[in-house]
Amino acid sequence: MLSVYRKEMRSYLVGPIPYVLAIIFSAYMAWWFFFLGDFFLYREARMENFFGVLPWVFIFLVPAISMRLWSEEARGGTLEVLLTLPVKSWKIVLGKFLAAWTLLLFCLVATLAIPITVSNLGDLDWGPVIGGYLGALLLGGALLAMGVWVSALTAHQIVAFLVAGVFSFVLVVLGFVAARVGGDLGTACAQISVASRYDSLGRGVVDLRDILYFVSFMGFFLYLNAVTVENGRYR
Amino acid sequence: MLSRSRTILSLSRLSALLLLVVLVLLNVAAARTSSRVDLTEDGLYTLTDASKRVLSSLEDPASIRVFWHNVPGEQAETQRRYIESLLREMKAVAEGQLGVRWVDLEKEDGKQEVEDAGVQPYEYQARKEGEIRTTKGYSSLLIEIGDEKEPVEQLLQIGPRFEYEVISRLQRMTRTDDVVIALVAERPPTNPFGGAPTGRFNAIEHLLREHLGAGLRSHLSLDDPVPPDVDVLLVVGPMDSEEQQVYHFEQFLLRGGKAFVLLDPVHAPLFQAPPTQAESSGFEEWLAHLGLTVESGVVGDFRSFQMRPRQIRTRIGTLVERINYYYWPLLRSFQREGEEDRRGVNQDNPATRGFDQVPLFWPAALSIDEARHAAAGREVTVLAATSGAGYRRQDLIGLDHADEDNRHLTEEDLESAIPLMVHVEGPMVSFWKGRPAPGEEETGDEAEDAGEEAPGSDEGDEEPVEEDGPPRLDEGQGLLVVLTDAEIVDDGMTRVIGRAGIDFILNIVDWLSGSEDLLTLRAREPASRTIDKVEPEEQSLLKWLNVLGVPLLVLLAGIVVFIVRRYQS
Repeated sequence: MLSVYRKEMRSYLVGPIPYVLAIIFSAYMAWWFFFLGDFFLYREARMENFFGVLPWVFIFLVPAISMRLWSEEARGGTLEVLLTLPVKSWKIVLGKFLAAWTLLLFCLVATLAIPITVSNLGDLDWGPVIGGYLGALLLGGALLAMGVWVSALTAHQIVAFLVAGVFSFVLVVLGFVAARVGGDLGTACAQISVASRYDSLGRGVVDLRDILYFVSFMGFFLYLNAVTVENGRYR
Repeated sequence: MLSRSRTILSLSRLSALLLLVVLVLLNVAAARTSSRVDLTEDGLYTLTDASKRVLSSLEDPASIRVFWHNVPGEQAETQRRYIESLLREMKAVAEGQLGVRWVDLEKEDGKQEVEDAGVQPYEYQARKEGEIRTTKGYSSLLIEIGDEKEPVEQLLQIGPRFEYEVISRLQRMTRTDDVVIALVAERPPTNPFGGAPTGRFNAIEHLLREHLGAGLRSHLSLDDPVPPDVDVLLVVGPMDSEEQQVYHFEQFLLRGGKAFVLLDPVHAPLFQAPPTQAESSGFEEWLAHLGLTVESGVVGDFRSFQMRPRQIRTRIGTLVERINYYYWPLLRSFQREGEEDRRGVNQDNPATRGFDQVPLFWPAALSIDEARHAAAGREVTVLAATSGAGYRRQDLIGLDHADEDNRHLTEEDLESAIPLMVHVEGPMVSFWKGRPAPGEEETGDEAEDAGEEAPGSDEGDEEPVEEDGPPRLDEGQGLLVVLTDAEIVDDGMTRVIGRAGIDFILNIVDWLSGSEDLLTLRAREPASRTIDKVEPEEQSLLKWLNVLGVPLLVLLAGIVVFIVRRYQS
């Protein structure tokens, strides 16, 4: 698993993708927070505005990271080689996923200048900031696990990007549907929505149930991914 | 081969389904547990020690029934889980004295129960089967101890105040002390048309009544001596008080009473032109005798920032706009930042500790005669003061102008820690010592002594008994808190600015009355953490540094990696 992780990280480092993603992501988040969010007009040392928009940005960012993971292997003809290696499918899947998750972490780290700036200007409560980043990492991990699985289903990166984007959108929007619809449907949507779990972490409360939810989510899609890869070996 | 691959595919699907079921069951099982870490600086989402004290001292069994059904809103699920966790914690701390039950409103029994409990539903518009329909929802709970019932409504809206709302009710329902607090405030005129009460200080009266129940004497008049059973006197916004009223107030203090006076030298109602002259409370002379001078003019704070609402008339009607306003002092907790001085909210006093960003509206400066207090053996503590950028303004013209008009302020105009709220405790001498009290006949001997401090008089002298009242005292021990702003509890202001000010005042009232359980709870509102004033040039620099600086660094890192790899290869 570690060798797959290292290989993926090496391919990230030499290519432009992680840098381009981190540049666009950090610049957009800073633009959103300081310009569109009118930070200096409201003058509140809070980061809700930043963490509130993150799930929507992840709808684009996460599929952009995950789309190439399997599709590129299939397109470049290296998938067959990879599948014939004496490595278990789940190890390959986990290695690829962890590398992509590290890239997402790199993108999030690139935005740390924002809370540092805010804390220099006022009395920022770091608890919700830490909770928010943890939530973002877990939410990103969940969407990423799904995106990596989608990538294993198609040889086309664009298709993988679009399908993962739509799935991510549905998952994120479920929380807002729950808020608008109400009733039993709303309650059900709220229970399975990633948004309410993410919101809870963003308050600065790390609940074991939220962690378990995200880990289960990741585990399920990584398992599906491993199953998909394993099936590919027998085709 | 084909059939083997089909078998594997079927097995994979089955195993994925099984895993899904296991994970769902695991999450459902975990939902019944509560294990969480609260990372917030003030532990906003964790039970305080004060709450634990109240809960562990429950003598009679209490029960809480939660009615939560069809609650819309983006935060509904997050708030539900927070309430659930906190109630679970409360139940554990109460050691069997508190029962918690979530009523299932899907069942007929539940529907009947909510009706019997008298909990009011709220209605909202929701889309159902393609149509917008009116739907009923519940987000309330009912606390019961014996026959006594107390509801807590709108659980969704109260956020982290949930703990305070529940614990304060439990405390009120179980309190055994008989503290009496009297409120001296203008009585609202009768509204002949019914509807909302008129007057300025209804909210504070309502909250005090909610908090104290029968322990509150509202609209007490100082025309008569303060009844002996009153423990704390809260005087809000006195205007042109007569000498006799001040005398009755003083006599209450000298008898060992505790008083809190909220003066209102400049009352500037929202959406109206501010006054051009300060108003007299009638207490100024008496306070000066005590060693506290209410200075003329108002105090501003250039480091503060509040949003001041103003009305704009347009063709389509009147709009309310909020503008940046740097004049009103916003009391901050500077000591939290490690600066141990007298600025902002005093963090050593249990009543004010933890409060931050308390809004004041045109207070006056208090000048403290330290030597006089020291000579009298009185202890004086500043409970609230401006930041390091406070300033005094004698002229009241143009008070409602926005910040831009105030640019003429220079560093020399700014003053650090102008006292706005002071606590005085210790021996006090009557303002009327050696003189006849207001309403008393002046005798020959007293006329000779009039105007003097009566240096040779004995301590604890008891003068002739006042008609139908307690004996007159010339000296005594008292405790007084003075704040030079009453708009902090003004209905109009609190509607717009929020209740941070009222909580601050309630805390001091509780502290004076010796009920300290709720002190730490009230200060636990998520503080509005206002940042320091930043000049426009610095703002631009910071914005662009964030938008371009970090991405440039990442780009640079990419180029370095690229060059190194190329060199290595």
